[in-house]
Amino acid sequence: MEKPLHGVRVLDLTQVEAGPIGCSFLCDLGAEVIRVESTKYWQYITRGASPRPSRAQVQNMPQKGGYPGGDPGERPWNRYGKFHSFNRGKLSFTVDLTRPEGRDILLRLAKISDILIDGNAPDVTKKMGVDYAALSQVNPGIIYVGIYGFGSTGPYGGQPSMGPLLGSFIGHDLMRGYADSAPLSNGLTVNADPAAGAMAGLAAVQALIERRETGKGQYIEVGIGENFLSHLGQFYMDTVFNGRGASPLGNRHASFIQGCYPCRGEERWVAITIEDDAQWEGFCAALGNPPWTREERFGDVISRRRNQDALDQRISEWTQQQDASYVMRVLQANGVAAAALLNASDAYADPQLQARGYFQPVTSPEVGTYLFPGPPWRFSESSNAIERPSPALGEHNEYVYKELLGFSDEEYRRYEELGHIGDEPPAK
Amino acid sequence: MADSDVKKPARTGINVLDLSTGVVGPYCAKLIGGFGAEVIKIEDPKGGDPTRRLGPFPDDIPHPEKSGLFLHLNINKKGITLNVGCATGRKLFLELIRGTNILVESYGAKALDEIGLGKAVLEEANPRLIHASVTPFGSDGPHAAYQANDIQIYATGGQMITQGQPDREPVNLAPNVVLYQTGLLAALGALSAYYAVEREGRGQTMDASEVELLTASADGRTNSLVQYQFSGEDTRRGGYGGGAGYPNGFYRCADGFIHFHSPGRFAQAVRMIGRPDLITDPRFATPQAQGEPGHREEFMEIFTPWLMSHTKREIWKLGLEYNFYSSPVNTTQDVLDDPHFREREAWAEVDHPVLGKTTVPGAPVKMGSGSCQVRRPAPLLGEHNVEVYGKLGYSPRDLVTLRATGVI
Repeated sequence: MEKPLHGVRVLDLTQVEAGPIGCSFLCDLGAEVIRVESTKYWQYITRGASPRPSRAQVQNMPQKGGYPGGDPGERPWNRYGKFHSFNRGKLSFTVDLTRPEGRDILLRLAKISDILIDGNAPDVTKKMGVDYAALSQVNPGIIYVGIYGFGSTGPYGGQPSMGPLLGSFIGHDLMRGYADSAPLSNGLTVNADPAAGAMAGLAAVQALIERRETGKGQYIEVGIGENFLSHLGQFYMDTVFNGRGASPLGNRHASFIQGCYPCRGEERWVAITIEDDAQWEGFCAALGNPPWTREERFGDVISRRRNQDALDQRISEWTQQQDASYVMRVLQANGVAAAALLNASDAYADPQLQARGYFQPVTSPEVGTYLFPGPPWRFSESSNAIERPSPALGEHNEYVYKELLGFSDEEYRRYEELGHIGDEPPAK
Repeated sequence: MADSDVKKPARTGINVLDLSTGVVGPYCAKLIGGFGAEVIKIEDPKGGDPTRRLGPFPDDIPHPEKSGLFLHLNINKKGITLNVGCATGRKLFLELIRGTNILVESYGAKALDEIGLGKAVLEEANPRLIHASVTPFGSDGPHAAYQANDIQIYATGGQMITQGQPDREPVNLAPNVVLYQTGLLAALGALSAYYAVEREGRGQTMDASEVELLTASADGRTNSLVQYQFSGEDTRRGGYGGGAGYPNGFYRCADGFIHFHSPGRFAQAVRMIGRPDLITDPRFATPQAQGEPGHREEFMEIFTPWLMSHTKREIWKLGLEYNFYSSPVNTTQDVLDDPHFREREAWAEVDHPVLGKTTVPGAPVKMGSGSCQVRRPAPLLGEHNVEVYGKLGYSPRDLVTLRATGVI
């Protein structure tokens, strides 16, 4: 069976994270995803913080800026780790949308495409004459999904923002972090963006289904903040019910015994949740029923909650003597949720992910062969393979211009001379 | 958005059967239901979905029909009770499966097989069925039977080990955030698989591991994995905002907190506070100078009084004028009161039989067709037994028998 979205064509007009990751989901699902890129305009932190960083600059960045071996190479814009993460499987062509003939190219492409994902500020495509109004004129079936921080309407409609800030705006930063120091001690987290990307994909698929009935496309908006609000729904219900704001719990649970405990070795941790009396008994059994577990102050759910500081101390004393993987195994065997915290190298070595064949080797000509996380889902009848690496800039210019748009060799050369077709970004 | 298309969404006629508990499966089913699919939620006759036991509750008084979490996760669904552990229950289940397009369940393939509802049985009942099976670690492998709450999924599939301060334990996100993300990804996979049924003429199973869904989709996890492969360098739990590129991170201000995220925009920040002279001040003129011992503290001596005399909204607005990106660290009440989200219809009101009129989060996406709506509250336990079983041909008297025998 072909992949679910086989035969669907998506134009990826996105940058940074929310849009690219949303399009990568559609790509994993089998759609043909074409990135609309440019040799004239450098997108923000998409193919790098800058087009041509020096080796020295890269060496000082965390994880070497994401460049293989810490080497930006001759064409760094094709070697940026973050780009490879979110764009595997996609195609890339270049066009300068700021010029009339560039706009025409996109309109011609929209005519033979199903979906366009817009990850720019709401007025950008309007100014370029390639917004939904323009595209739906040439293709009434086009499904146009805008991913915008605050949406395009309302008091803050069109205002610039970014994922981590939208998380703060929508309340997440008062719901997370260490109980004694949030939000000042909160780290950087980017949850609103991948959520928006996923929702853009979901809404686009729903629109494909609706189009079967109506024959028409539609305009869709994912407000990054609004969409993420739904992930925080239970805190909003508490405010609606009780007028109460959220307080960060750290690693604790509202009702169960839960925490993140240190294990043997450096930066080895395990997250444990003991829900009820039955799981407490399982927990005690896993430890071999040491005498401290029979103390009255740990003997029932209320007492355990009241004495959780002391209980956490006792649990830590035990976990510190063990490997995290042992703690996970023995607690799970006794019916208690426990999981070792995995850093990147741990994830690649994880026996479960390995048994599931989750990581797949992907070969990119300018980067080499590396193991990549696979698609999120495993379908029983259609392929789950990553089919191609992330594209080089303009790698599929010939395919898009000649095969899809019917350009002759002469026309193609002309557009190269005009500066639409190329494979290098601007100087900076 | 085209006004003429609002409130007249396409009748796509998708039927979803939700046999899941917890957060991931129910949220997946809720999202598909939000677009107008009919979602029937199956609950255990004895007490229903365990989520009914979880708060928040009005006045903190537990009540099986008043859980705020259950309400949020099960908006738009119809509800029936059914014990699939008994033979009659399985028969009813398979009758429902015949009219179902997407089954969402959190039992897993092995558990379903053990009670006689394995792949072959479901395929025979409905070869066009999309079976979305969502479990913490996936249907096979050494950890297939492992349990997990949100913190374990985040620990294994997310960036938890990098979250927090380097001299303290790693710290979770807000409870359940990662599970909503995996539910959303599950919905995308399931609905896409449904889309393909018309083309392929048959359905398939989507085996979704919450850990894999999260690894592929959230909080820079994919990126940190790929960058580790490229660089050989693992990720670290780093302090945020404590280093160079200030002001960056979280700061106290007059009425709460403000979050700055404009690293390297020192000039914009000091213009904002009316101190452009600091741009050429030798203490701050270059990133190296900024990073010299004591210089950050000296900057904060100037910056802090300014912060403490401005509210979070004032700072946010000013920042926009000066190209310096920030956000107020809002409370839930701030967001509920914000006219922007009201105008964007981020909230909806449901009329719940027990709770009364209640504000709930509204449609998470704006469809031009208007198809994503909050249409009805979460169901009472067994609320639609008569309706749903009636369509299968069972009379109310049959339902009395089914109830007495523990089937529903």
